[in-house]
Amino acid sequence: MKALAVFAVLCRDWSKRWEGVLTAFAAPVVLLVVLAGVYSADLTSSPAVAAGYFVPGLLAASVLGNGVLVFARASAEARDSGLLRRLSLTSLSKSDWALGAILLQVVLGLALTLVMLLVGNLVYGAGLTATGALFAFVALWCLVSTGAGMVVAGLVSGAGRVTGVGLAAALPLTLLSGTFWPVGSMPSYLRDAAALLPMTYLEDGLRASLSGGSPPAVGADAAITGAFAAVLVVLGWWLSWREGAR
Amino acid sequence: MPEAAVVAKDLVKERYGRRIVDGVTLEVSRGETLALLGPPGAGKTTILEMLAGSARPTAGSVTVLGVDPADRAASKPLRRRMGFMPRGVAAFSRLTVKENVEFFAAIYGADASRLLESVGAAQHAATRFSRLGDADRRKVGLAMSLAGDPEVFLLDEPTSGLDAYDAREVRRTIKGLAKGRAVLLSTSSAEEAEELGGRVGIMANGRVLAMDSPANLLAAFGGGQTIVFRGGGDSAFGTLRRLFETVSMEGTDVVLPFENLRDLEVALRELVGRGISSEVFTRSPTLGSILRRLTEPEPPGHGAA
Repeated sequence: MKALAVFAVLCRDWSKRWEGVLTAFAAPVVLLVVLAGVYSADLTSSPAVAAGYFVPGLLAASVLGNGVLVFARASAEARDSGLLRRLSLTSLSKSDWALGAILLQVVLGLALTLVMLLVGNLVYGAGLTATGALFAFVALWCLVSTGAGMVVAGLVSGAGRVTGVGLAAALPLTLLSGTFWPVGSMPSYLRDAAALLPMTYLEDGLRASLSGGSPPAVGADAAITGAFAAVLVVLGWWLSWREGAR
Repeated sequence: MPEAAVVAKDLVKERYGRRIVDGVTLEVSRGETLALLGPPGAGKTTILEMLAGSARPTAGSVTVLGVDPADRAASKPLRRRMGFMPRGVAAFSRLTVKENVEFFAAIYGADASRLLESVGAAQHAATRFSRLGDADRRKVGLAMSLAGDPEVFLLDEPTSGLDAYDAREVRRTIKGLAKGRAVLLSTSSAEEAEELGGRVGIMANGRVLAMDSPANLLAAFGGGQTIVFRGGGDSAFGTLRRLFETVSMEGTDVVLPFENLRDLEVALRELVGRGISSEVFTRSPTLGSILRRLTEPEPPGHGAA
């Protein structure tokens, strides 16, 4: 119940942050429309194929941005203003706080998935299907992004710096993980770097889910994404606020 | 004697090798308000932090409603029964007053509208928190702290930084909310301590120098009326010191214990004769004057003999 209260208050706070709404919905939809149009005209044979390629990548990038930029900044502001310290003296636990935050990111991530599928299908006729595996991957990625947001907010002092560090983390992940171009088209040293990034496996998994990929391949991607999610959520929970006396 | 809700014994807190709280013992019973009065750095806030469980004593013991608040597991139920209002009121600045209070109310299963009414802030329910004035922020802070209907209420400098009118209004609200609870507040305002505190503990340098009801403190430390000479400075002090051993300085004021009219007449004649002009008035003792006397070191050569 307390996690639901956290979810409700963070949801209200998110809805009043223009950067939150922009990162979560406006930016990926606009990028999808523009990129699929440009790539289909110049580089690929069909806009539907281009849209099918960009939906998973933009979905992943947007969910990541929502965690490491918007949520991390909101957490840092709450910490800097003394709100987290104050909450630590109530009967709210930091597990309630983390759970509420994760819940919000999952709801936003799943809503964005529906919006992206809708735009891809309506604008470009991409024929994308909502599958359980797709939603499961998005939910896992929401855990990764929320955990990463909590880690960034916990380690970096000052809300302004948190945004900078969040961007520094999100940008290489987005560029190297196959969001805008296939990992296979990059030089070998960048492919090696991409192999270390969780977002690479997520995007593989998302694309495989959309195209009905083989269960073993999807399972491996899910296991790697899940492992990153577990580590980041535990670390983020531990760093989110200090419980007990100093 | 009613059972004490808050008990601190020989409390010591050291940080970075500095002793911030030095052997403080205090008790607060249900229905009682204890005001810790002292200048900044006296250790008041640290005591509240130890009672709230956010700081662990270096030595000594604390129990709140029979529980050690620093013991996170044991004190979990205590967090519902204790309200703490820190000095700065922290909230979600983009949300409205009601949305903020609703969050705290949801943690405890309370009614946000009633909480806002209880602190006289219902008219600000739809106002964004960041647009509130200082006094209204404090009221919202009070509403948040009261969400669990606490038996023990800790308030850290509840009116610091407010103008006199706002401070009075917040104090009036606190007075209404204190009934039936054990309240411990820290303040550097003698007026606030006198108004809110059934008992007042005067603190400096981590120690409690005196603790009693305001009336008893005045009787014990206040002395009688004093004559104040303002504006004469050191020359007035030097002149009067030759006539009265008991004369002293408080800041730039020269202060003489009032014993009889004859002393006043002699003092005035001497000052006028030497061409020293001063504003002269009598002053009854206050907690403020006791606080100054107990906590401010006298300048060299200015002490009463």
